[in-house]
Amino acid sequence: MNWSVKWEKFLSTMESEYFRQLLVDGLANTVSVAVLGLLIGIVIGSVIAVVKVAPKYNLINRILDKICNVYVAIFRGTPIVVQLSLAYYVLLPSLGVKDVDSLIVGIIVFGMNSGAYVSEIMRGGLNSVDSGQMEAGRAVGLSYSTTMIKIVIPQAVKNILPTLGNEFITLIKETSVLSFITVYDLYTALIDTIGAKNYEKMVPYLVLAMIYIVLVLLITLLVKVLENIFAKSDKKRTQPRKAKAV
Amino acid sequence: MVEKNVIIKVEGLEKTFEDGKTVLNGIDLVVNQGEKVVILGASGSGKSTLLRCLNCMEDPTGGSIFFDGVDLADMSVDINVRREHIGMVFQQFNLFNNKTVIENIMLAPVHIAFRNMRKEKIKRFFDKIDENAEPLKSKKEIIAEKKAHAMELLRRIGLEEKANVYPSTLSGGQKQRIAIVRALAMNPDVMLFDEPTSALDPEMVGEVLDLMKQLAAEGMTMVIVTHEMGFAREVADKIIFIDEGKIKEEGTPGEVFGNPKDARLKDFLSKVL
Repeated sequence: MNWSVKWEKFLSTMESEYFRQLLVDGLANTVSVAVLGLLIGIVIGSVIAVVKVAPKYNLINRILDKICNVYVAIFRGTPIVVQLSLAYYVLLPSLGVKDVDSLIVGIIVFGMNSGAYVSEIMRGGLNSVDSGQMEAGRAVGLSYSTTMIKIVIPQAVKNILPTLGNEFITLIKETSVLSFITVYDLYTALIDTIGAKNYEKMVPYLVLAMIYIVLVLLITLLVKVLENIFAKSDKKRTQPRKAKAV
Repeated sequence: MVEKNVIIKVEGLEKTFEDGKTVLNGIDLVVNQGEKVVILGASGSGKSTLLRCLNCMEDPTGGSIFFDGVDLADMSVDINVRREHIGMVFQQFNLFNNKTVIENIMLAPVHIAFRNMRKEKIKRFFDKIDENAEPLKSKKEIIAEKKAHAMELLRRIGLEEKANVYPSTLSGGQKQRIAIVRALAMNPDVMLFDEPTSALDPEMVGEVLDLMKQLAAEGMTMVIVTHEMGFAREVADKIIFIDEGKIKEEGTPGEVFGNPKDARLKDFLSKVL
């Protein structure tokens, strides 16, 4: 095994504009599936969480609750690879849908999958908000949903930001299975294209790992920044602490 | 004698919780305009539950609560619209933690003004009769108006410099006074106070009670659950004593404190006075 030769091979491949562009495309697809998937996941997860914490006085709420249970059971109970394949190779053809961009399918499936996980995170967040907040909102004449949207959910999101960041990290790594449904992601770009060119995949695998680590570190940083922004309502001091007198 | 305006009329109110525990067992109560009613009772007697039933924070399981001509216990009544006219102050303040002080006060008035504006727009769109009607206020105007009102309320309690801070930076007494003006910002017909000073440090009780006395002097209709006997004696027009989910005694402070008849009330007063 000669690493310097392998490294040279990789660099020479990357000198070509064509391959660099492929890598950028793969990276863009990976990031867009993770970001859009998370956004869809937050929307779906919030809806499910609100249904789950809503009072179950009437039949509609109870039916919705059952539907959400089934949804979460399906998407948490099967591997994402199976969900992607079922959607792309079974569901869509059997519905007669043709020429769907596999990237779109990837975004939607990852979003729906993430929604199941986010719903549990969100539910914990909603329960962590003091019930007095809801009562106070209702007491001034706001409806349940208005109080939820304006008062409870913003506080819940603040409480769950670190866990939500974790979900984003999981999501961006899980996107490496997108090649199962022919999405041109980071994995496909580095291993199946760049690696296949010289029949040399050891360096591409290492580079792949490094790119994922960098992505995850960036997300960690982003979550920290967001936490600071959201924490403004917790800050005790409005002015910086004065320097100690010597 | 002039007939007084009845604000709230409670008839045969019952409340049984889901675990089967009956907390209120046939309460009859009339609150007249401008009247200050203080509810007394030992812990667990149902006094807070009674207060919370008055704006349906707890849904009654029997009886009626007439407010503004409708029975709030009727589940088909739009409770949100009625609650706009019933202010409530909580033991734990319950200021919105994610909103600044001024946003806390403005939130509901602005939201409800926007909603009414949308309703009015739709109404005018469908029956184009009234052409001379005054033009609707813009969103900007509504916000400016409610903000001015909120600032005026803050000035009144001497906290205008706190307008843009978050509740977590305030003392308990400040929080509770802001919670009171948040309720006042809706121009309610009646204010409900659920043990407003019980969660406060002793040195802050005075400032909150002073504000409540001011409101009382201005003629606000108030229903108050409290353990502050001195305040009750000074402010109340009527005191009701609740025990085992029933009103055991009802009267002026002079009657209730001076000449209690019910044995449980005597016992209660001997402990708290």
